[in-house]
Amino acid sequence: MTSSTTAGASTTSSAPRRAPSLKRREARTAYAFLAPSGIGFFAFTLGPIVASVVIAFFAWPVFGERTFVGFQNFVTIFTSDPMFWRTVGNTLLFVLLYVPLNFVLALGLALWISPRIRGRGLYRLLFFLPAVTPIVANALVWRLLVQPNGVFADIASWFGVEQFNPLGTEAGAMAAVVVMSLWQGFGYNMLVFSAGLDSIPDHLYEAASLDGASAPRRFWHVTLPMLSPSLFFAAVMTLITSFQVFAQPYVLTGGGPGVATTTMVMYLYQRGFQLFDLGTASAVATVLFAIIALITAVQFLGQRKWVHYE
Amino acid sequence: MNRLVGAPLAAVGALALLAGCSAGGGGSTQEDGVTTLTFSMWAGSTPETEALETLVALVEEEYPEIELQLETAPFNDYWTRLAAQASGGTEACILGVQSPRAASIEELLLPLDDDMLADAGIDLGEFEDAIVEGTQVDGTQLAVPYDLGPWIMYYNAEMFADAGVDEPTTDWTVADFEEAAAALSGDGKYGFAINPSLDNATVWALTLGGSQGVAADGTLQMTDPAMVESVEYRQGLVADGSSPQLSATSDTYNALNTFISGDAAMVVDGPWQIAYVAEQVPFEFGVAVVPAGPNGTSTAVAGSGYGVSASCEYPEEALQAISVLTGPEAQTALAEQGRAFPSRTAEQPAYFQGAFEIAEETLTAASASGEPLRSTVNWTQVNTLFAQYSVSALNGDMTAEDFLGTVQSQTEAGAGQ
Repeated sequence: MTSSTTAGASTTSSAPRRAPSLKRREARTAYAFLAPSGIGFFAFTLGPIVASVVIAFFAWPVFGERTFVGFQNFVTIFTSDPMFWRTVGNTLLFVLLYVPLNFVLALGLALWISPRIRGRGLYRLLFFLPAVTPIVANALVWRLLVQPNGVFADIASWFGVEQFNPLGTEAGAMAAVVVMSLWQGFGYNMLVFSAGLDSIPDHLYEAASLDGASAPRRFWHVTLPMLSPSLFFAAVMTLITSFQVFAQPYVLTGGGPGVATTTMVMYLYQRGFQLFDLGTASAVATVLFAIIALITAVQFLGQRKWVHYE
Repeated sequence: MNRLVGAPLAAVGALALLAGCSAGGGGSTQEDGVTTLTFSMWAGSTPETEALETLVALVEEEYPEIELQLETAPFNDYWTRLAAQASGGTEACILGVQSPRAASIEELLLPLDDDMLADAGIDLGEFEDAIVEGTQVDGTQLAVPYDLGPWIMYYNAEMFADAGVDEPTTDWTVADFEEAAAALSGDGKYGFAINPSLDNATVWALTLGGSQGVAADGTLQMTDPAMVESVEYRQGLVADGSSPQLSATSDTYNALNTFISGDAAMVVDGPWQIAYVAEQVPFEFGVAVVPAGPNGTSTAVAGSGYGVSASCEYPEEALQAISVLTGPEAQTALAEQGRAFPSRTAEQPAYFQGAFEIAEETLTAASASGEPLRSTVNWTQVNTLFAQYSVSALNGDMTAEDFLGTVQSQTEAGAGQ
């Protein structure tokens, strides 16, 4: 600071000196603006994630001694725990059923309420409503619908089905959890796709029509590529949240019958807070984190092939 | 006991708890001659919290130098929160202890020896034996019981009258029960709603086979012949159409609510539900002992009490407070409100008035013949798995042996770590 006022001779050297100080000042301002979310991120996101990974390497009962056990918790869940692989299987089954169906439903409805439909704002609102209602309330209503003397059972009895009890069988309970999750979850993606569709310029369709492209070809060669950033975003987010599925089975089925709807997150919750075994629970959480990180990384690597940003 | 009237509320609470634990616990202090003790207890509704506040006032009246800081959570959340607090070393000084869960929090509780109890003026001889035993682990007293609950049979008196079936008596048998259940079933109605929980299975195991799924030394014996019989017997009820098919649900009130809605004529539950049932049902109901099996009637008994946490800095004061919380005056107050069936035998008559008059004969008989519901260290996990798998088993998709063997092996694998 002082050098610039005293030295008229060395203008060449003072200029580069002033630049970093400006840069530094800007950086300081930037950090100040980042601080609120940054502190929150470190304290409430990164901190707990690191802590959880650390706990995974300990025998960490809620009461009593905590000891470092290295990879023992991972060895246990991978080799001798009868529940862990079941819950991984249940989670994968949920993801494989839920994600594609969610996309088909969300994209189908987004296309249907395209600009040609009157009152599309209202439809958008209606389809989005389940996404903003509390999941516990949703699950309670669904329970009333699917229980043996519920509305669906009445409808089934018109078609001669006597014992309609989806929550009484393993396959039926998983189906009920998936269907409820779909109903709850498709609205969000539909809104994303709908916004994406709106931003596709009309002239592309006009040009394609003039070139003689049929409706399916226009969809395939104009709509889908133009929508690919939205599809990519939705795929990443939906996969992450579906691997983390917890509330739906927790409230609707309690993880049953048997352990047919016990997902990985439900299982780590049970291990941590019912069995008071935070070490193993954290190991499950770490494995889940690794699975999600891996799948997301693969998606990001793969996006170059099919996502078109303009 | 679990009096929370809304499992849904508990679920909401649990989720809220996952999102961010509320502060509390720890913080017992001594200042200017006044000892402030934290007191943690479950309460699922405003009346329950108010009842606890009444008890707190009794303590502070009796011991002006003690101040209690009450913190409550719904029943299921209470245990989650206790775990979270214990991991941070901030659990309260006085803790609510449910008898079947005493073993799982044994390390958290101060063992109460006779001298300590005597110093606080507590004589366990004045309490019902079954629940004194129920609040012990390996012969060590971990809590002073305040209530007692033998599982009993609730029945819909109007459905019995309409079907021309005699109402249950204190000496009815399993054969009488089956006959009644069959006669009361049909047209979308059922004789008996099955609760898939382990405690309900234990009730039937005790009356049918005379033993339960946990041995006297605390080892899990799910495949005990009495347990197999209990499951097979109730599989038969579902197969016959005397009981509805079961569904996987997180709602522990499912069977009870089937009874309350008039879709099932009978259900087994604890006396802690009488107030809820009386408030909810539009019909006349009664309670009876669990029907007698080949060796006479027997049922499981559970209850709750208050213990002192091992980390409490003022255990003497805490026990003094507990002597009032479980004292005659407090128990009479709770009994008159129908909140708890007293663990003190002398105070039990206060309970039998108004809606609870009907329960006198039944509760007296059931308490006398009941056996404490035994438990294991990993009780919550055993219960969770049991309730989940019993849906498949009772619906007939799994044999009783497979089902019980699965619960046994999965919990053993879980506990062996």
